[in-house]
Amino acid sequence: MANDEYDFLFKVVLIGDSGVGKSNLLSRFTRNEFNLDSKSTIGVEFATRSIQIDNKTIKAQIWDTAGQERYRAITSAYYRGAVGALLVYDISKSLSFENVTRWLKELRDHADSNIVIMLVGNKTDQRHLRAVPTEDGKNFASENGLSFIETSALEATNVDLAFQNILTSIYQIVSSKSLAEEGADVGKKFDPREGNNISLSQEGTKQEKQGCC
Amino acid sequence: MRTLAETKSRWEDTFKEGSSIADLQRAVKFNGPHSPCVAGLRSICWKAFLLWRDAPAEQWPELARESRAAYSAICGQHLRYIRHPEQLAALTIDPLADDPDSPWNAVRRDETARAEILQDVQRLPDEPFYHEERVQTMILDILFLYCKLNPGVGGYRQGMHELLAPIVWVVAQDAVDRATVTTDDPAEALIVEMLDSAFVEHDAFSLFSKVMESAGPFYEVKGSASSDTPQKNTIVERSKYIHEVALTKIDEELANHLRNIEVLPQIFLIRWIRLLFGREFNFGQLLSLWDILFAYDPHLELIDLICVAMLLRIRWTLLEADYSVALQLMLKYPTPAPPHGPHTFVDDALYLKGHFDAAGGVTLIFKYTGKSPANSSFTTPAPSRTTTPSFQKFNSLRQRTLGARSPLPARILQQPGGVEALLQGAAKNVMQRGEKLGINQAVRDAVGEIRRNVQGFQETRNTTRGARALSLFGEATPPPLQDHALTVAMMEKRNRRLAAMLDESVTNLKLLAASGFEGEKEKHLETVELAAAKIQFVKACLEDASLALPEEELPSLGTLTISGSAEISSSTVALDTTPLVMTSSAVDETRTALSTPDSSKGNSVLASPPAESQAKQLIAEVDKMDTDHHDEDTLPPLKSELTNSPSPPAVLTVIPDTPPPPVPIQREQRPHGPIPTRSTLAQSSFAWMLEPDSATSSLQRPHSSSFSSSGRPPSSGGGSTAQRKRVNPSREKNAFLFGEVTGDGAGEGLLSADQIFGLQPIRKGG
Repeated sequence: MANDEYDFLFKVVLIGDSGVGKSNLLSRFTRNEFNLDSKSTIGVEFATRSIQIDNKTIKAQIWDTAGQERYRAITSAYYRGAVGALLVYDISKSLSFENVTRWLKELRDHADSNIVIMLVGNKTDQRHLRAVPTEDGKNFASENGLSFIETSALEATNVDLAFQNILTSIYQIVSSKSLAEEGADVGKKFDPREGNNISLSQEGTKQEKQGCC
Repeated sequence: MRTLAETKSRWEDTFKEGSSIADLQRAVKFNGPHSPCVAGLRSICWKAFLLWRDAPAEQWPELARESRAAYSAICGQHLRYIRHPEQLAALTIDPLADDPDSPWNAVRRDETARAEILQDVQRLPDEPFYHEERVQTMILDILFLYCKLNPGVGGYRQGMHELLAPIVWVVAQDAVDRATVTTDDPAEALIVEMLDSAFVEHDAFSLFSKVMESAGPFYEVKGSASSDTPQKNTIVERSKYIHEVALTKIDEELANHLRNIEVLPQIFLIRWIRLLFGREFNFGQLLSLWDILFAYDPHLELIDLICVAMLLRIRWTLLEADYSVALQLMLKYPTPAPPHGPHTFVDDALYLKGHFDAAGGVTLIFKYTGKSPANSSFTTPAPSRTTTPSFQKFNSLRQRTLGARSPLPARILQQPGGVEALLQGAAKNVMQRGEKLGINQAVRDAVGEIRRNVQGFQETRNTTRGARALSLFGEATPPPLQDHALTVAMMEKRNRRLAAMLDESVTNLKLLAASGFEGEKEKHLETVELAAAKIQFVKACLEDASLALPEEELPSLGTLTISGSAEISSSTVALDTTPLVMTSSAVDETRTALSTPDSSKGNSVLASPPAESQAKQLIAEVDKMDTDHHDEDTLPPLKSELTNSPSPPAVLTVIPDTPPPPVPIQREQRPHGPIPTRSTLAQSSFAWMLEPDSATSSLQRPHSSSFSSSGRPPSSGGGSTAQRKRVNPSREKNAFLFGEVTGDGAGEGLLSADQIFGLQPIRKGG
C-alpha cells in the first residue's frame, strides 16, 4: 500500500528512441540499479521515488515506455497528466539525436502544452564512441526552450541531478503559483474533488525565486 | 543435445496416452509432471496443437517436410545477399544507383530493418541460451523473414522477439544432432528426422507464424500499414473489451473499482497480452501456461478470460489499492503459489468461458481466496448483456441473439441453467468415454453439436430473460409465485425425460465399450449412430421447449435416475440459480413452495432453493472444476459410473451448519449498456490529469455519485486519500497541477509555452 506521504505528486515521462537507455535512467534513479542486459520495454513501466525540495516531499511518478512506439497504442494514456518529460538520446547514436525533433513534436501534439521538458544526452560513458557533441545538444535545447543535461546511467553520472532539476523546475512553477494565489478566494476553486486544477500557465511571475540551477 | 536413446524414450512418453489431439490435450492438462510436454517432447506437442491439429499422426512427417522446404525457399529468396554479401558485390549493378529497386538499396533497407530487430534480440531475457550468437542470428532471421512475408503487420514490433524466443528454445531443446546418430531402425530414423537439429530454425518459424496468426492483431496499431483493418482489433479495444465487458460481467465490483481509480486497462494489458504473459511469470511457469493454452486454445481466444482470471486472483488486494498501488501490482504480478500456478489461469479461463457471469466470477474468487464478494456487489448479470464468450464473437453473437426469436415461453426460464448443466455433465462424460476408447468421431460430433446448441440455448434464454426483465420495469412486481412453481415442475419433468433419453444413449455406448468392440463392426456402428440420433433429438428438444416428448421414452425413466441423479446433482450445483426477476421475498416463498417433499423427491437438487445452497454450490462447484489434480490417474474422474450408487456428492454435506452467505439476489436494476462509458476520472484523485473539457463537465456531478455503493472498505492505505486527509487545503491544492484554466481565473494573463520554457533553463550538466 502506498502509505508514504508527500506534498506533491509529479508525473514525469521518459521518451526517446529505443535503446537510448530510458529504462536504465529510471532504474538508476528509483532503485540505483543498472542492468547492462536490460530487456526492452514492452508497453509501459513505471516507478516512483520521493525526494525533498525546499522541505517538501516530492513524489515523482516516472513512466517509461517502449522507444519503438511511434507505433504507440497508448500515447494518450501515457502523456495524460504528465508535468515533465525527459527526452533522451544516445550520444553515441546520431540517429537518436536526429529523432529528437520527432519526439518533441509528439510531445507538443499529445502532452500538456506547459509540460517541462529536459533534453538528456545519455551514455556519456561511451566516450570513444561519441557521435553527438555536447554543444549540439546544448544548442538544440536552447533553440527549443528545453533544459539540457548529459548523463550516464551506467556510471551514475548526473542521473539524480537530471531528475532533481526537472522536479525542481516543476516544483518552482507550482509553488510560485501557489504563493501568487495565496489570499485569493481559491478554496472552492481548487477543491480537487471537483476536478479543478492549477495550471502552470497561470503563473510565471515568480521566476526570480528559482535557485536550483 | 539429447541422446537418441533419451529422445526415443521421451517420444514414447509423449504418445503414451495416444497420439490424437484429444489424448494429448488431456495428458497435458491432467498429467502434471508426466505431461507429454514435460516428460515427453514439448516441441512435438506444440507442433501437434498448432500446426498439425487436423492431421492424423501419420501425416506429420510429411507436413514437417513441406514446411521446412518452404522455409528454405524463403531463406534463399530473402536472405541471399545478407548471408552472402559477396554475391551482391559480384553483381554488375552500381551500388550508388538511385533506383529504389536496386538490390543494393533493397539490402540497405533490409539491414536497417534487421538492425532494429537485432537491438531487441540482444536484449532478450536472461536465459543464457538466448545469448548464444547462433541463437540470436536464428531469432533475428526468423523475425526478419516473418516481417518480410507479412508486410501487413507493418514491420517488426517490439515484443515479437519475446514471443519467438521461447519457441526457439523449446524446439532446440528437443533437437537431435543427426550427425551423431546412426540407426537402421526406421522408427528411430523418423524420430531423428522430426527432431533434426538442422531444422530448428525452420520449425520455430512455422510455430511462430502460426502463433502470430492469432497474436498478430495484438501488435496492430492505428495508422499502421493495414489501415483497412477494423480498429477494434487494436490492443486498446481489446483491453477495453476485457475491462468493460468481460470483467464487468464477471466481477462488476472490481471493474468499477478499476474504473474509479482510473487505471486504464491497456497500460498493463498491452504487455500481458502482447507477450502472452511472458514477462509476468518465470520461464518454466510460462512454458506450462503455453502448453495448456496451445492445447486448448490455439487461436488465443481465451486471452481475454485469462486476463480476467488473473485479475480475479488479486481482486481483494486490487479493491484496496489506489491508482499507483494497483498499477504496480499489475505490472509486477504476484507469482501465484503452487499448486495453482500460472497454467491454472487457462483452466480458469475455460471455466469462465462456460460461466460468463457474476456467478462464475464468485466461484473463482471463492476458490482461490476463500471469500466471496459481499452481498451488495453480487449482482445478477445485467439482462441486456448476452453471453459473450470471446471478443471476436462478441458482435456477431449479439446480433444473432438480438435477432433470434426465442422459442421458449418466458416462464420456463425461471429455472435457468438446469438443462444446460445437465447436458454439459452428460456431454463431458460421453466425450471422455468415447475418447478414452478411441472411438467414434460420430459421437464427438454429436456432443460437440449439443455443446454448441446449449450455447445457443443459453443465449436465447438470456434474451428472453432480458426482455422479461425489461417489461417488468414499469410495474416492478414479481411474477406470480405459482407460475414459478409450475414452471419449475414442468421443467423438471421435462429435464428428467430428456436425461432419460441421454442416459439410454450413454448406457448403450457404455455397453458397446464394455464389449470391447468384439463382433460385427456394422452392428457397433449402428449402435453409435443410434445413440448419436438420440442425442440429437435431445438437442432438438432443448432448442425448442414446445417440442413434445414422445411418450414411449417414458419407460426408461426408471433406469435413468440411478445414474442420472448423481449426474444431475453434481451438475446442478453449477447453476445460475438466481432468477433475474425475483425479489428476495419472492425467493423465500418460492423456496418454501419448492422444498416440499414431493417436489424434491428424486431430483431434490434441481429444486433446491438458490440462496440456501449458495455456499454449498460454491464449494461443490470449485471441487468440480478443479482440474489441477496431477494424479497418477491419467483421466479425469468419471463422475457417474452406472454401477455407482447415487450417493450425493460429498462436498454438499461438508458445511451443513455454516450459516449461508447473504442472499445474492437483488431487485433487478436498470440494465447497463454493453459497454459502459468511462467517465469517472473527474471524481478520482487523478482528476488533475484530465483534459479541460471533461474536467469541467465533472463539476456538474456530485462527487459521490459515481462511487459504487457497494460498501467496500475505504482504501485506507491509499496514498492520495491519506494525503488529502493530512494536508491543509493550500498544500492540497498544490498537489494538483496542470489541466484546465478555469474561466474565473482571476484575470491572470496566460504565459505562452515559450515564456515558460525560456524561463526554466536548467544549466547544470554537460
